Amino acid sequence: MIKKLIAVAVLLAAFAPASFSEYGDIILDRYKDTMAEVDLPPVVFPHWTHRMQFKCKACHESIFPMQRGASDITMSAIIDGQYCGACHNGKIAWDPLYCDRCHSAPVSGDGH
Amino acid sequence: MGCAGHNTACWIAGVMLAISLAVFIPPVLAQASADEAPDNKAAQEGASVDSSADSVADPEESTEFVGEMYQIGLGWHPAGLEGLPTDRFGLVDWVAALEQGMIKPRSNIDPNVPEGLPFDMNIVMPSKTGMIAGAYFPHKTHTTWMSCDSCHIKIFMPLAGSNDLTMSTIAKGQACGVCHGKVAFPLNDCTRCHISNADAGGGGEAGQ
Repeated sequence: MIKKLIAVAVLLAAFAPASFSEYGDIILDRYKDTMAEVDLPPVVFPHWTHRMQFKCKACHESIFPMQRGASDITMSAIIDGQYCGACHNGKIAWDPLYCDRCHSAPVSGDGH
Repeated sequence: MGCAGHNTACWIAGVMLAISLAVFIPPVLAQASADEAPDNKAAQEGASVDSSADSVADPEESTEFVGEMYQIGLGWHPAGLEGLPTDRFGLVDWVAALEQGMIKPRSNIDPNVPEGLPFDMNIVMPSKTGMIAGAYFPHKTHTTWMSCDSCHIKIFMPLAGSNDLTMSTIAKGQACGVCHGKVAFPLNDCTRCHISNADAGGGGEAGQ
Protein backbone atom coordinates (compact mmCIF):
# COMPACT_ATOMS: atom_id res chain seq x y z
CA MET A 1 0.00 0.00 0.00
CA ILE A 2 2.78 2.41 0.96
CA LYS A 3 4.69 1.49 -2.19
CA LYS A 4 1.65 2.24 -4.31
CA LEU A 5 1.18 5.61 -2.64
CA ILE A 6 4.83 6.50 -3.17
CA ALA A 7 4.63 5.42 -6.80
CA VAL A 8 1.60 7.61 -7.40
CA ALA A 9 3.18 10.61 -5.65
CA VAL A 10 6.42 10.19 -7.59
CA LEU A 11 4.62 9.89 -10.90
CA LEU A 12 2.67 13.08 -10.18
CA ALA A 13 5.84 14.96 -9.21
CA ALA A 14 7.81 13.69 -12.18
CA PHE A 15 5.17 14.77 -14.62
CA ALA A 16 4.63 18.20 -13.09
CA PRO A 17 4.60 20.72 -15.94
CA ALA A 18 7.65 22.93 -16.15
CA SER A 19 6.97 26.57 -16.93
CA PHE A 20 9.12 28.26 -19.53
CA SER A 21 8.49 31.84 -20.57
CA GLU A 22 10.43 34.36 -22.59
CA TYR A 23 10.49 38.16 -22.25
CA GLY A 24 7.53 39.59 -24.13
CA ASP A 25 5.18 36.66 -23.63
CA ILE A 26 1.59 37.80 -23.22
CA ILE A 27 -0.97 35.80 -21.25
CA LEU A 28 -4.47 35.93 -22.73
CA ASP A 29 -6.94 35.03 -20.03
CA ARG A 30 -10.11 36.99 -20.60
CA TYR A 31 -12.18 33.83 -20.34
CA LYS A 32 -10.07 32.04 -17.80
CA ASP A 33 -12.98 31.40 -15.43
CA THR A 34 -15.05 29.45 -17.92
CA MET A 35 -11.94 27.81 -19.33
CA ALA A 36 -10.88 26.69 -15.89
CA GLU A 37 -14.16 24.83 -15.57
CA VAL A 38 -13.04 22.56 -18.41
CA ASP A 39 -9.39 22.50 -17.28
CA LEU A 40 -8.25 24.53 -20.25
CA PRO A 41 -5.22 26.73 -19.38
CA PRO A 42 -5.05 30.34 -20.58
CA VAL A 43 -3.22 31.15 -23.78
CA VAL A 44 0.42 32.22 -23.98
CA PHE A 45 1.25 34.43 -26.93
CA PRO A 46 5.01 34.43 -27.53
CA HIS A 47 6.10 37.66 -29.21
CA TRP A 48 9.60 36.36 -29.93
CA THR A 49 8.72 33.69 -32.43
CA HIS A 50 6.37 36.01 -34.27
CA ARG A 51 8.70 38.99 -34.48
CA MET A 52 11.36 36.83 -36.06
CA GLN A 53 9.08 36.48 -39.06
CA PHE A 54 6.92 39.58 -38.98
CA LYS A 55 7.43 43.18 -38.04
CA CYS A 56 5.08 44.72 -35.49
CA LYS A 57 3.13 46.46 -38.26
CA ALA A 58 1.99 43.15 -39.75
CA CYS A 59 -0.45 42.75 -36.83
CA HIS A 60 -0.57 46.16 -35.11
CA GLU A 61 -2.93 47.82 -35.41
CA SER A 62 -4.88 46.30 -38.26
CA ILE A 63 -5.40 42.87 -36.68
CA PHE A 64 -4.75 43.53 -32.98
CA PRO A 65 -5.00 46.85 -31.16
CA MET A 66 -1.91 47.24 -29.03
CA GLN A 67 -3.83 47.21 -25.78
CA ARG A 68 -4.59 44.58 -23.22
CA GLY A 69 -8.28 43.73 -23.18
CA ALA A 70 -9.07 45.45 -26.47
CA SER A 71 -9.47 42.22 -28.45
CA ASP A 72 -12.29 39.81 -27.74
CA ILE A 73 -10.53 36.69 -28.93
CA THR A 74 -12.61 33.55 -29.02
CA MET A 75 -12.17 30.29 -30.90
CA SER A 76 -15.13 31.20 -33.11
CA ALA A 77 -13.44 34.45 -34.07
CA ILE A 78 -10.18 32.64 -34.78
CA ILE A 79 -11.82 30.01 -36.93
CA ASP A 80 -13.64 32.84 -38.69
CA GLY A 81 -10.30 34.37 -39.71
CA GLN A 82 -10.12 37.21 -37.22
CA TYR A 83 -7.27 37.88 -34.77
CA CYS A 84 -4.96 34.89 -34.61
CA GLY A 85 -6.98 33.26 -37.36
CA ALA A 86 -5.73 35.83 -39.87
CA CYS A 87 -2.62 33.67 -40.14
CA HIS A 88 -3.38 30.54 -38.18
CA ASN A 89 -5.73 29.13 -40.77
CA GLY A 90 -3.67 26.32 -42.22
CA LYS A 91 -2.48 28.50 -45.12
CA ILE A 92 -0.06 31.06 -43.71
CA ALA A 93 0.55 29.25 -40.44
CA TRP A 94 -0.72 26.08 -38.83
CA ASP A 95 -4.43 25.72 -38.30
CA PRO A 96 -5.95 26.01 -34.83
CA LEU A 97 -6.16 22.28 -34.23
CA TYR A 98 -3.23 21.95 -31.83
CA CYS A 99 -4.71 23.15 -28.55
CA ASP A 100 -1.65 22.65 -26.34
CA ARG A 101 0.53 24.92 -28.46
CA CYS A 102 -1.39 27.98 -27.33
CA HIS A 103 -3.28 26.88 -24.22
CA SER A 104 -0.14 26.39 -22.16
CA ALA A 105 -0.08 29.11 -19.50
CA PRO A 106 0.90 27.95 -16.04
CA VAL A 107 -2.14 27.76 -13.80
CA SER A 108 -1.71 28.52 -10.08
CA GLY A 109 -1.88 25.39 -7.96
CA ASP A 110 -0.07 23.24 -10.48
CA GLY A 111 2.90 22.88 -8.14
CA HIS A 112 5.69 23.79 -10.58
CA MET B 1 15.22 0.21 -1.08
CA GLY B 2 14.99 -3.34 -2.24
CA CYS B 3 12.50 -4.52 -4.78
CA ALA B 4 12.03 -8.06 -3.68
CA GLY B 5 10.42 -10.05 -6.41
CA HIS B 6 10.80 -8.55 -9.86
CA ASN B 7 8.24 -5.81 -9.43
CA THR B 8 8.50 -3.56 -12.48
CA ALA B 9 6.25 -0.86 -11.07
CA CYS B 10 8.47 -0.65 -8.01
CA TRP B 11 11.59 -0.20 -10.11
CA ILE B 12 9.95 2.50 -12.24
CA ALA B 13 8.73 4.30 -9.13
CA GLY B 14 12.20 4.13 -7.61
CA VAL B 15 13.91 5.57 -10.68
CA MET B 16 11.36 8.36 -11.01
CA LEU B 17 11.72 9.18 -7.33
CA ALA B 18 15.48 9.47 -7.77
CA ILE B 19 15.07 11.72 -10.80
CA SER B 20 12.49 13.91 -9.06
CA LEU B 21 14.74 14.31 -6.04
CA ALA B 22 17.71 15.23 -8.20
CA VAL B 23 15.68 17.78 -10.14
CA PHE B 24 13.54 19.39 -7.49
CA ILE B 25 15.61 19.36 -4.28
CA PRO B 26 18.80 21.27 -5.26
CA PRO B 27 17.02 24.49 -6.32
CA VAL B 28 15.06 24.44 -3.08
CA LEU B 29 18.25 24.00 -1.07
CA ALA B 30 20.02 26.74 -3.03
CA GLN B 31 17.17 29.13 -2.38
CA ALA B 32 17.09 28.21 1.29
CA SER B 33 20.80 28.83 1.74
CA ALA B 34 20.58 32.12 -0.16
CA ASP B 35 17.77 33.22 2.12
CA GLU B 36 19.63 32.23 5.29
CA ALA B 37 23.01 33.81 4.62
CA PRO B 38 22.12 37.50 5.01
CA ASP B 39 20.28 36.84 8.28
CA ASN B 40 23.24 35.01 9.74
CA LYS B 41 25.60 37.84 8.89
CA ALA B 42 23.31 40.43 10.44
CA ALA B 43 22.91 38.36 13.59
CA GLN B 44 26.64 37.90 14.00
CA GLU B 45 27.74 41.44 13.42
CA GLY B 46 24.89 43.42 14.89
CA ALA B 47 24.35 46.71 13.14
CA SER B 48 27.76 47.00 11.49
CA VAL B 49 28.06 46.66 7.74
CA ASP B 50 30.39 43.99 6.45
CA SER B 51 32.57 45.85 3.99
CA SER B 52 35.06 43.08 3.33
CA ALA B 53 35.68 42.17 -0.29
CA ASP B 54 34.08 38.75 0.18
CA SER B 55 30.62 40.17 0.68
CA VAL B 56 30.57 42.29 -2.49
CA ALA B 57 29.75 40.52 -5.73
CA ASP B 58 32.23 40.91 -8.54
CA PRO B 59 30.17 42.06 -11.56
CA GLU B 60 32.58 40.39 -13.95
CA GLU B 61 32.36 37.01 -12.25
CA SER B 62 29.05 36.83 -10.48
CA THR B 63 25.97 35.40 -12.11
CA GLU B 64 23.77 36.16 -9.10
CA PHE B 65 22.61 39.56 -10.19
CA VAL B 66 19.80 41.05 -8.18
CA GLY B 67 18.21 43.06 -10.96
CA GLU B 68 15.09 41.50 -12.43
CA MET B 69 16.13 42.15 -16.02
CA TYR B 70 19.53 40.55 -15.48
CA GLN B 71 17.82 37.52 -13.99
CA ILE B 72 15.47 37.29 -16.95
CA GLY B 73 18.35 37.73 -19.37
CA LEU B 74 20.45 35.07 -17.67
CA GLY B 75 17.53 32.70 -17.33
CA TRP B 76 16.01 30.25 -19.74
CA HIS B 77 15.55 31.23 -23.39
CA PRO B 78 14.05 29.19 -26.19
CA ALA B 79 16.52 27.47 -28.50
CA GLY B 80 15.16 29.42 -31.45
CA LEU B 81 16.73 32.61 -30.12
CA GLU B 82 20.25 31.20 -30.03
CA GLY B 83 22.72 33.20 -32.05
CA LEU B 84 20.74 36.43 -32.02
CA PRO B 85 22.58 39.46 -30.66
CA THR B 86 21.78 40.36 -27.07
CA ASP B 87 21.85 43.56 -25.07
CA ARG B 88 23.59 44.12 -21.76
CA PHE B 89 20.94 42.18 -19.87
CA GLY B 90 21.04 39.15 -22.12
CA LEU B 91 17.72 39.97 -23.77
CA VAL B 92 17.52 39.75 -27.54
CA ASP B 93 18.46 42.99 -29.31
CA TRP B 94 15.89 42.88 -32.11
CA VAL B 95 17.04 46.12 -33.77
CA ALA B 96 20.58 44.75 -34.07
CA ALA B 97 19.26 41.39 -35.29
CA LEU B 98 17.38 43.14 -38.10
CA GLU B 99 20.29 45.43 -39.00
CA GLN B 100 22.69 42.50 -39.19
CA GLY B 101 20.27 40.63 -41.42
CA MET B 102 19.91 37.70 -39.04
CA ILE B 103 16.14 37.96 -39.20
CA LYS B 104 14.04 39.12 -42.14
CA PRO B 105 10.58 39.86 -40.76
CA ARG B 106 8.10 41.13 -43.28
CA SER B 107 5.78 44.07 -42.88
CA ASN B 108 2.61 42.43 -44.06
CA ILE B 109 0.97 39.05 -43.94
CA ASP B 110 0.65 39.27 -47.71
CA PRO B 111 4.13 38.65 -49.15
CA ASN B 112 3.28 40.60 -52.30
CA VAL B 113 2.91 43.89 -50.44
CA PRO B 114 6.21 45.77 -50.85
CA GLU B 115 8.19 46.94 -47.82
CA GLY B 116 7.77 50.68 -47.37
CA LEU B 117 10.54 53.06 -46.42
CA PRO B 118 10.70 53.96 -42.75
CA PHE B 119 9.93 57.51 -41.68
CA ASP B 120 13.10 59.20 -40.43
CA MET B 121 12.85 62.04 -37.94
CA ASN B 122 14.73 62.38 -34.69
CA ILE B 123 13.03 63.91 -31.68
CA VAL B 124 15.25 65.47 -29.05
CA MET B 125 13.84 65.96 -25.57
CA PRO B 126 16.25 68.09 -23.53
CA SER B 127 16.61 67.19 -19.91
CA LYS B 128 14.16 69.00 -17.61
CA THR B 129 16.36 68.73 -14.55
CA GLY B 130 19.92 68.51 -15.84
CA MET B 131 20.53 65.42 -13.72
CA ILE B 132 20.76 63.18 -16.75
CA ALA B 133 21.39 63.72 -20.44
CA GLY B 134 18.39 64.55 -22.57
CA ALA B 135 16.44 61.79 -24.29
CA TYR B 136 16.51 60.99 -27.98
CA PHE B 137 13.74 59.35 -29.95
CA PRO B 138 14.63 58.04 -33.44
CA HIS B 139 11.53 57.60 -35.63
CA LYS B 140 13.45 55.50 -38.12
CA THR B 141 14.17 52.67 -35.70
CA HIS B 142 10.55 52.57 -34.66
CA THR B 143 8.88 52.99 -38.06
CA THR B 144 11.00 50.20 -39.46
CA TRP B 145 9.01 47.91 -37.22
CA MET B 146 5.73 49.68 -36.46
CA SER B 147 3.01 51.50 -38.31
CA CYS B 148 2.21 55.11 -37.46
CA ASP B 149 -1.15 54.29 -35.87
CA SER B 150 0.48 52.06 -33.26
CA CYS B 151 1.46 55.21 -31.36
CA HIS B 152 -0.38 58.11 -33.02
CA ILE B 153 -2.63 59.34 -31.65
CA LYS B 154 -3.61 56.91 -28.92
CA ILE B 155 -0.28 57.02 -27.10
CA PHE B 156 1.46 60.17 -28.35
CA MET B 157 -0.01 63.33 -29.81
CA PRO B 158 2.04 64.14 -32.92
CA LEU B 159 2.74 67.70 -31.80
CA ALA B 160 5.91 68.86 -30.08
CA GLY B 161 5.38 69.75 -26.46
CA SER B 162 1.92 68.22 -26.18
CA ASN B 163 2.96 65.03 -24.39
CA ASP B 164 3.78 65.09 -20.72
CA LEU B 165 6.65 62.65 -20.63
CA THR B 166 8.22 61.83 -17.31
CA MET B 167 9.93 58.67 -16.15
CA SER B 168 7.17 58.10 -13.63
CA THR B 169 4.46 57.99 -16.30
CA ILE B 170 6.68 55.82 -18.48
CA ALA B 171 7.41 53.46 -15.60
CA LYS B 172 3.66 53.10 -14.99
CA GLY B 173 3.25 51.65 -18.45
CA GLN B 174 2.07 54.74 -20.30
CA ALA B 175 3.71 56.50 -23.24
CA CYS B 176 7.01 54.75 -23.98
CA GLY B 177 6.20 52.23 -21.27
CA VAL B 178 3.38 50.72 -23.36
CA CYS B 179 6.08 48.72 -25.13
CA HIS B 180 9.34 49.36 -23.31
CA GLY B 181 9.36 47.05 -20.35
CA LYS B 182 6.84 44.62 -21.83
CA VAL B 183 7.95 43.73 -25.33
CA ALA B 184 10.77 46.11 -26.22
CA PHE B 185 13.94 46.70 -24.22
CA PRO B 186 13.31 47.54 -20.57
CA LEU B 187 13.59 50.92 -18.93
CA ASN B 188 16.58 49.73 -16.91
CA ASP B 189 18.71 50.50 -19.96
CA CYS B 190 18.97 54.27 -19.43
CA THR B 191 21.65 55.04 -21.98
CA ARG B 192 19.64 53.60 -24.85
CA CYS B 193 17.59 56.82 -24.76
CA HIS B 194 19.51 59.27 -22.57
CA ILE B 195 22.57 59.86 -24.67
CA SER B 196 25.06 62.61 -24.06
CA ASN B 197 24.80 64.50 -27.32
CA ALA B 198 21.01 64.78 -27.28
CA ASP B 199 21.24 68.37 -26.01
CA ALA B 200 23.37 69.44 -28.95
CA GLY B 201 20.44 69.85 -31.34
CA GLY B 202 19.65 66.31 -32.39
CA GLY B 203 20.42 64.58 -35.66
CA GLY B 204 23.03 61.94 -36.26
CA GLU B 205 22.96 58.30 -35.33
CA ALA B 206 22.14 57.31 -31.79
CA GLY B 207 24.64 54.90 -30.27
CA GLN B 208 22.91 51.56 -29.84
